[in-house]
Amino acid sequence: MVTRRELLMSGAALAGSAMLRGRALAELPPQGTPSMPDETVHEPGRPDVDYTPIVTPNGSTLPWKLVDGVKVFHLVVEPVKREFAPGLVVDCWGYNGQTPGPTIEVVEGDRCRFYVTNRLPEPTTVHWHGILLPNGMDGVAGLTQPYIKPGKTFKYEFTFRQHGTFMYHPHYDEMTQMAMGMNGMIVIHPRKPAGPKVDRDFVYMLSEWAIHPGSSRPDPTVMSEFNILTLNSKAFPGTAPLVVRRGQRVRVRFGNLSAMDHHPIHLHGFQFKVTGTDGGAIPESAQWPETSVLVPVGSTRDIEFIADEPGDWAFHCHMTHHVMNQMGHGLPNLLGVRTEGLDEKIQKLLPDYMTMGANGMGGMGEMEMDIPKNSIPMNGGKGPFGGIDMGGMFTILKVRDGITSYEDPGWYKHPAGSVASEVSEAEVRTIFRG
Amino acid sequence: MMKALKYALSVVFLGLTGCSTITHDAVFSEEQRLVREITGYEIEYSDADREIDSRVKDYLAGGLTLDEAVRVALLNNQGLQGTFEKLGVARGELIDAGLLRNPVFEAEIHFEGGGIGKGTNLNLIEELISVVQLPLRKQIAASRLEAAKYEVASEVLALIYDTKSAYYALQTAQSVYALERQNVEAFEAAAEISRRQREAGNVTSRELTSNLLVFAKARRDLAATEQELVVLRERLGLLLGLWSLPWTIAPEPITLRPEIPDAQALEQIALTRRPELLRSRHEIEALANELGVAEGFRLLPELSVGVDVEGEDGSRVVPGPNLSLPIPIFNQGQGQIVQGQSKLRMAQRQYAAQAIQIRSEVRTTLQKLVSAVELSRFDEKHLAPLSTEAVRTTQQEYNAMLTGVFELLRSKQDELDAAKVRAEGLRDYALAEVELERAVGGVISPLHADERTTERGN
Repeated sequence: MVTRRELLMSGAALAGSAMLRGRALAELPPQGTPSMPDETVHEPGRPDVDYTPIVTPNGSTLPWKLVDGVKVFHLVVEPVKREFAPGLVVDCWGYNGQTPGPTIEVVEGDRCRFYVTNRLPEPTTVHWHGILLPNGMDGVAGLTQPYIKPGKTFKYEFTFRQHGTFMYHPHYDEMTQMAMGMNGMIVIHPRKPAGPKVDRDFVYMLSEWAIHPGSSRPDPTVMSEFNILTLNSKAFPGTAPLVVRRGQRVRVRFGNLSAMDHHPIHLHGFQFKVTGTDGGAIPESAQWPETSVLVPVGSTRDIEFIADEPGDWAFHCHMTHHVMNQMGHGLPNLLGVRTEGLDEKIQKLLPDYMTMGANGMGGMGEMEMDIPKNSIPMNGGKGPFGGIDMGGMFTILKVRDGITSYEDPGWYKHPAGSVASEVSEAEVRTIFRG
Repeated sequence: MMKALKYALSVVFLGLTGCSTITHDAVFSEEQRLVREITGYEIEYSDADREIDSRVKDYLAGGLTLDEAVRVALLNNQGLQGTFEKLGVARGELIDAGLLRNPVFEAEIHFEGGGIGKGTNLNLIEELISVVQLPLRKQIAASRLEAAKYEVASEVLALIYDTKSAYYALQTAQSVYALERQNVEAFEAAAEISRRQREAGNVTSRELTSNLLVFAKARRDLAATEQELVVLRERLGLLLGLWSLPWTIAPEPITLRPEIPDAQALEQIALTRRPELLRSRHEIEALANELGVAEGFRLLPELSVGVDVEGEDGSRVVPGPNLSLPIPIFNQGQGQIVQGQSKLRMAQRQYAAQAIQIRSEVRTTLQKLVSAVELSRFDEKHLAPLSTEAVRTTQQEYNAMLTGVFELLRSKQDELDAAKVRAEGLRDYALAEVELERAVGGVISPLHADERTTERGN
């Protein structure tokens, strides 16, 4: 049976080529116009039928119900507790019990209605970042709508007439509300998909927080000394891995609602193309190759690649301080300092004292020491070859042969001879003699 | 003449009977009883130039506790031994008061023609008034002896209080010195780390110098504390009368009294117990009796009778009585009486003033004690535990590399500072206790947890 999708695909191809032949270049629509210039409401798109559902690691998709052909969603804005990583539970603000809020997943052409109930102690609104809609639905408090006061419910209604990766976030007291974790992703699948089919589609919200270690509430007044960085409000070792089958085309979408920092997200083992922003899909000839995609504050980026090499691939922000958890700043620098006798001298006054940092700061996560409760300083996670001395915006892409389920497959079993190994001094001398 | 002589002799005999019961030992053991009753401590009368009592040596072994220090002071303080002689002086006056005036023998001899001639006169005169006045004079001197006993008791108490105060001050100064030394060690550790950081090229000269400077200042302050310690040690040593033997103190921790006594009750006790007040009372008795004498004998202050023998021609001797009696025409003792009355009234007014002052001292020192207890309780409940918690939480953050070693050392220094404040607070409390004892006139058993028996002074 011919599916609607296949029909649409073939129709689009024919229509597109006909257009090009029949008109001069100057008459082509300018770059960046949406593919559906009118507000035609189409039949609501269905998961697995009209699109491959998005995967929000450590998150969820916002459910909807159909009411007279309109997809109806309910966002409840409320205080939320979130475990960023084992040992750190944070008092945040979010949507529907989560931060980031559940991913809104729709299809281009869906007419949607959003009920927003405010259970915060202050007013809020929801702004649909990058979405083309009537001005009054834009969600800017004071400018396009009145505040949604505490306890009240507002409704937004419009038709999505574009596709790509977008975000939603408050537009009242943003500094506080976004610092507290109020943000979420919007994924709009195209009505007429173009380009190669994507087999696995992931979405991430990038965030940064200042949580004074031992406390449980983010400090929204901090402007540059952030100390916890998250992927979908999780810090490694709390981040779930991305599990894909070897050979699949993988898309990963990033949105960055950090207060101040852009993030260069780096993937080991692959070269990918940047295929979209919140301005729209990037034409194939314009897609540029990267191994790190810089996601500026207030932007989204989509990348795609074929997962053709099996293994456990590190996938992380390349800013070195963004892959550490809650380290102190401004400590005295003891690197390279002579330490003999110091411990004895100071232990007379402070019996639990131990000199740290003289040989670098690696391996601190593995030491069993009395530290403030509800903090994850310098934590890493356990790996198959030892501790993984990373935190924050770090996760693992696990590529496996022939898997049928996307449950965490455990650590990659390397083929013999394909792991970096230690050699003896004798071997070194033999090779480099002379 | 034989009759007169017999009469004179019997009067002399009368005079002699009064002094046999007033021995040094009797008086001193009275004093010992009084001191024991008020303080619970023993005093002893020792000979000069004796060797240091072996008991003192025993007390010194292992360091002096507060109790032992008091005992050593009572045995060994030369000033106190000197004060005991006030009893001797008063005893002498009492003996004196019980003795009759010696009769006076006068002789006028004329030599005439190779032998004793006419006009030779022999007289034996006895002042009679003294016989009549004797009992009264003895009473007056007895009152003064009682007064002296209380004066000595007051000196004993003063020595005990001064010794205790000096002991507490020294005890605390030693603790504070130990804390300040640790404080200096913390600065030293910071300076050492800074030095090594500079060596490794991690910090600037300015930062190193800054740390060396605070270390130097701390060392200097410690030297000043050492100096104070020497002075306080000398002060106690002086009271203990120790100048040749080495000595140390072995103090026990000062503990707070469980309850505060009632001011009214203490005032009453003070009025019955303060030796200064009791001394004044006996002095008033003495002055009253003296006034009695002056009033009773104002018309007849002196009266002498005697026998005289006068030689006549040849060997004839003519005896006869003689009598000396002042005639109160001009001086009827008015001056003496006015003086006596004024002295008596003065003493009475001073006694009243003294009583009021004593009550005031009791109230003031009790209030100071209450404040000191409150402060010490506050230190124990809040200051000390919080400062320790600050170190613990800083250590936790240090362990997590959230804060550095300098911050950690600083938190330790804050804890040491709090301990110093606490030690000084306890000292102030202990000194306030001693001042209260001084005001009430007694001794509370030492402020050490295990030795808290029933309080003797209250």
